[in-house]
Amino acid sequence: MMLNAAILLKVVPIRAQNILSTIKEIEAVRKAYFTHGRFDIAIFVEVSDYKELRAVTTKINCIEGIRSTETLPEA
Amino acid sequence: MLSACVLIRTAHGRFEDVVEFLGKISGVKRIFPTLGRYDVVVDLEAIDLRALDATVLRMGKFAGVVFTETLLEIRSRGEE
Repeated sequence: MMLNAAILLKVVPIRAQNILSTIKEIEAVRKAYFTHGRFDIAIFVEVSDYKELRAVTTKINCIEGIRSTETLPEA
Repeated sequence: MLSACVLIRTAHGRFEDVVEFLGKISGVKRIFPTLGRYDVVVDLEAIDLRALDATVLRMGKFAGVVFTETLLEIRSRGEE
């Protein structure tokens, strides 16, 4: 049983392209793109459990230029 | 294909109905209930902006939906 989550990011504009490329290399990421609106990047991930989700969000948070992340895990 | 992340707030206790109903709409690739600022997350794909517009408006008309927030994919800035 896989767990879905959406991760919404606000980023420093000058780093945006690098951030998106780095995120796309993460295995659990199914989809990632720049967006209009409240957030700069929307990510859909598929993980096996909350522990893996935590590992993925931690990895994303460590990328230089990320201003904030909001994770919406499947409930 | 154009992608959008649709974030939905539902009326009290209606998220299961919303997930069931919206899951049947064509173009919905992924849909799941969540906890936090929103109640339901939708991964939506559409052939063009007009189709996407129609789908999101249809979602907003469903009785259990309080509001939707759509994060539309930007193509020009990203990689093709």
